[in-house]
Amino acid sequence: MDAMIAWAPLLLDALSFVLVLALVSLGLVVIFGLLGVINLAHGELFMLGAYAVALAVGWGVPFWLAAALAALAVGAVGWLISAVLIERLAARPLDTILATWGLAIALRQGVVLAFGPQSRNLDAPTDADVVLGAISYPAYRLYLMALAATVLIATLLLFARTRFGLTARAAMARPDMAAALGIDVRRVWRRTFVLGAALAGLAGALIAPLISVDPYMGLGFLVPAFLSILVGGSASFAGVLVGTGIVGGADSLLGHWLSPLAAQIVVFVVAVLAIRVRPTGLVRAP
Amino acid sequence: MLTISDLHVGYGHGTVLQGVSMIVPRGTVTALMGRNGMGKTTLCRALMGLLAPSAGSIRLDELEIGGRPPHRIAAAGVAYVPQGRGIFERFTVEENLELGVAARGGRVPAHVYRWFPTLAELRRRTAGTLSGGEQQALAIARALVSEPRLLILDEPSEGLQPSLVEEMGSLLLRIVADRHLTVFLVEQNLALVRRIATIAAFLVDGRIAGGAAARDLSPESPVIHRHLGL
Ligand SMILES: Nc1ncnc2c1ncn2[C@@H]1O[C@H](COP(=O)(O)OP(=O)(O)OP(=O)(O)O)[C@@H](O)[C@H]1O
Ligand SMILES: [Mg+2]
Repeated sequence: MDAMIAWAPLLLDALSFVLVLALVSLGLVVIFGLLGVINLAHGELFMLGAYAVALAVGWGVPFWLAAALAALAVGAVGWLISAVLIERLAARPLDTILATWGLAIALRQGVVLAFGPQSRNLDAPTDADVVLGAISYPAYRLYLMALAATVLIATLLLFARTRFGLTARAAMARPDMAAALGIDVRRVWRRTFVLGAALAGLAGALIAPLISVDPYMGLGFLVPAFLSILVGGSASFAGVLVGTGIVGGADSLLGHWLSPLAAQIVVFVVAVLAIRVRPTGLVRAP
Repeated sequence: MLTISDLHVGYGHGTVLQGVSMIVPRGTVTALMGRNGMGKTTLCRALMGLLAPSAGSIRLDELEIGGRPPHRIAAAGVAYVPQGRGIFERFTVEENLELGVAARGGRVPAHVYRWFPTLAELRRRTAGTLSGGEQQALAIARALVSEPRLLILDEPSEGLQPSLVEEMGSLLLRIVADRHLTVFLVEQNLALVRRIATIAAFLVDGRIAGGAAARDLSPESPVIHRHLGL
């Protein structure tokens, strides 16, 4: 029982990290799956989400509304990136990697110029604790988990159950055939990119009160998100969730005993071993 | 219905079609025959907008569709059954059919299930598990759910046993009469062409080398020897 009480907050912390990371990974994987684009600027979209929420809260916007606006704003940035950069390069994977890498640097430097290199902190909308049986746990983290889980499920349902999801999956599987059936594949791409960007923006906004917000925070989430996809496999959403659970969970739990750097090295080694054993990911395509 | 004039299409290095001109009259099944590698599929893809012509024109009635994006050509009333069928193997039969109407909205029309009653029974099956004949039926049905004016069929008989080809021929005749459909049929199967087409044209070295009334063709015809013989 005592062990349970000691472990529960750690597990909840890990779960909240995993859920936020899953938003980032899911955005990355829908963009990769549909456009074949490895978006190296995805971490910066996440960072922009955190800055957007911090700015809006600074202007007096209530936190939750600010988080929603941050997701929309980053989605709009995604629209622009897709229209100006991605769609022109989509057939050239190496070019998109270079272009999004350059974009990542530009976005980071842009934020440094606009807001300075220093980190800032954002207060959570509530600092109340909720008593859960024998432990008490920050209410904000519980809200965050509920919201992230809801958005994840909604995104999965969007792809699995709606016409938009059907056309997106079709455009992913056979773009030419989808186009011949009358589907405007470019528009599907753009909407998917916007969705992926908005997910990253939301993740950044939700995590902002829990970590320090600085121009370089994106990398700290992009790397585990990539590892998650490599470990779990990019062929299905289940793969993304399993991979994120393993990578994010290990990262967060190990961080309690090891230094963050040592934890990341252990996670990295585990990920490399998992990829070695199952190069296409732990979860195969359905 | 469809007027192709002096069409040139290629793949970067060298043109495959070098001035194709032909007409597909409204309400007919017009066949295009030719040996392997002559560019029949290339022509179909250009008609559907999946390849951009380097010169020439494609008109659907009065509308120039050459070089337009495929979804616009589909919206203008053209549907395509590609060689190899282009089925979404991991999707269900129903999802495949729904994709045919996804762009313009609405449901899969009931008459399509009446033409293809087996598909109605297989609705929930994963398309990749269907037999070759069932997949071909699905590809044709998916093209028809959008109620096209012009249907492009690229070697629909490929890989099917003769009895199934015959069945498909009868069904196509029925649908063409029923919906006043115009069909552009690429085929190497002479029996099917004779059965359902009015006119057959021959594609040789990137140009139309001649045409004939489909019912006059036989394996012994000189044109068949010249353009399809080995
Ligand atoms: N994607 C491509 N890139 C480059 N060349 C191609 C491509 N597709 C086809 N070709 C070439 O274009 C020519 C015509 O090919 P196409 O597939 O149109 O012929 P086809 O008449 O449909 O043949 P088949 O009867 O085998 O289906 C061939 O020489 C082929 O090698
Ligand atoms: Mg062909």
